[in-house]
Amino acid sequence: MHKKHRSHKKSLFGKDIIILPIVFCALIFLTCLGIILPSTASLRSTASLFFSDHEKNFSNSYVNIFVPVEESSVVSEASQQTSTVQQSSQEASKPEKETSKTEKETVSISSFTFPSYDNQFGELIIEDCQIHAKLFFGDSDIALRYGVGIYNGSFIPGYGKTILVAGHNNTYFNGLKYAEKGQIVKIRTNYGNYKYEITDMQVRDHTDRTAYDLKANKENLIMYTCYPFDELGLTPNRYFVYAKFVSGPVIDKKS
Amino acid sequence: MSEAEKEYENDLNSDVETEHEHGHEHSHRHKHKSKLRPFFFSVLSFFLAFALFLLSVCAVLYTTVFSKDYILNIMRSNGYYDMVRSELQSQMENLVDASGFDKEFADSFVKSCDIQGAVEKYVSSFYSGDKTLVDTISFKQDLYAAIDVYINDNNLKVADESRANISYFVNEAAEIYVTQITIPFFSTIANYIYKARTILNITTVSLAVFAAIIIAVIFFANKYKHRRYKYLFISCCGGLLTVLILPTVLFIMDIVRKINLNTRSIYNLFVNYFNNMFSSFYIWAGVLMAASIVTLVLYIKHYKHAINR
Repeated sequence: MHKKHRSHKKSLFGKDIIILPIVFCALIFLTCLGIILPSTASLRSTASLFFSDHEKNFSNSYVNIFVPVEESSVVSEASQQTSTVQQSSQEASKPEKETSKTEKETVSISSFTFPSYDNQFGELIIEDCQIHAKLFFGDSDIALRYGVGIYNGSFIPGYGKTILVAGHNNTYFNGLKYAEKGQIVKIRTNYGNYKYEITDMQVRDHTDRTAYDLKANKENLIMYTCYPFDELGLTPNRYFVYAKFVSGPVIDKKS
Repeated sequence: MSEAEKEYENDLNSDVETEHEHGHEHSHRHKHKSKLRPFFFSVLSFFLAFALFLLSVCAVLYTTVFSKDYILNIMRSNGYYDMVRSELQSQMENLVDASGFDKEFADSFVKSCDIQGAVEKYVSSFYSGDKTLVDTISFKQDLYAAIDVYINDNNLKVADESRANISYFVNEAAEIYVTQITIPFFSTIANYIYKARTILNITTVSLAVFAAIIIAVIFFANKYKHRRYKYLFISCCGGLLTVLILPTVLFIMDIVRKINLNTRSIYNLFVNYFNNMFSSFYIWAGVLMAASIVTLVLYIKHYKHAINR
């Protein structure tokens, strides 16, 4: 009788009462996966495009990687790596030779932080036009709100190609209306300082792709903004200011 | 011990391995019977667990995806409208930066916009099967009126050709407004949701009938009450585990937070939408847990009652 009672107690919470729900759960999942997985393969691969490895940052602030480099010099690390950069005190005492020396300056592409989209990596100054704006990589809303931005389909200074810089005509590029030939545009970046000389100004339609050549193999700066200036509303014309390269370190893409 | 009492003892629980002082033939018959019955009822319990799981999924879908009030409540309770307003303000500030207006102009104009009304109208139209777009006419009219006031207040002279620039600005602003009010892919999804409602109704009713039939079979095919409740408990428990696992795995993986969406408002809406949906699974898991506890208590009660007999 004692033995019987014990076996009843054991079977009250017997194996099936614990194991069966778990087995059912596993079977239901396997059944669902068996039905859902093959029929939703394309849907899942599409859905995976909407997900990233980390949470998205919606901050309106920007990253500033701009650390001013001293006039007529490039980043110190680049100076160590490239033999062509020589900033000795003797050279500094010979101003007539400085131009030819700085023209030969190079900076290794691996020696400085290459800007990411929406990074402030420099500033653009045209003293004659009273322009002093933060320079961003990319011409997003953030860039144009806080300064001027390089179109990321163009190139950064020193790369030997076209630099296309955009800015709003009512804010940072309002001073472009005072642009004249021969004026000097200074661009200071986190890897070197550049000078360009304004050569031309033109008004073009906003759809006119011939206003700039992004494939040019010569370093040149193009700044543009909406035109006319001080106008209410969005305008269909653009004011282009062209400038040629004067000085600044050339980026050594091989190193 | 009489023959009836012996049979009862065997039926009490097939797992109980009692030594019977019966002939070999009699024992074999009992063994065969005791193996087939539990298997049959275990299979029924599995189908009931599956039905309960699917019913829970249907119930969650009813109260979340298929409910217009669900998305509107999430929008209201999570500050969606304020976020949309803030984003619209920021976008408008960028636009006025490029257009020669003051930032205050954008701020005051956005403050006057009825964001909540526009979003609710947009969501409601899709849930009722309409394909209405965001109404930009009143937005444009209000913006033109605000621009005229701005021009008058600032004593600006606007040439005729500048009117075209202002129209260009208003159209751009209207596009921004539409982008902010609309929810990406919502029109496509809402269309499917509207059409799938009938299918869900039929599925839910079918599942409920199917579950009721299984419960009836378990009830009437089992002579002893404790066994009825045992199989019902196993089904409820199986369903409960399945309902619990899905949201738990998704919560642990934290996959929802890694979605790439354009704006913070849409991102927050999406994350809250799915987190609340997963939480709904827990509510239904609670219902199944209550059912499991009730059936377990009844099982124990009737089991003890049977032993005492």
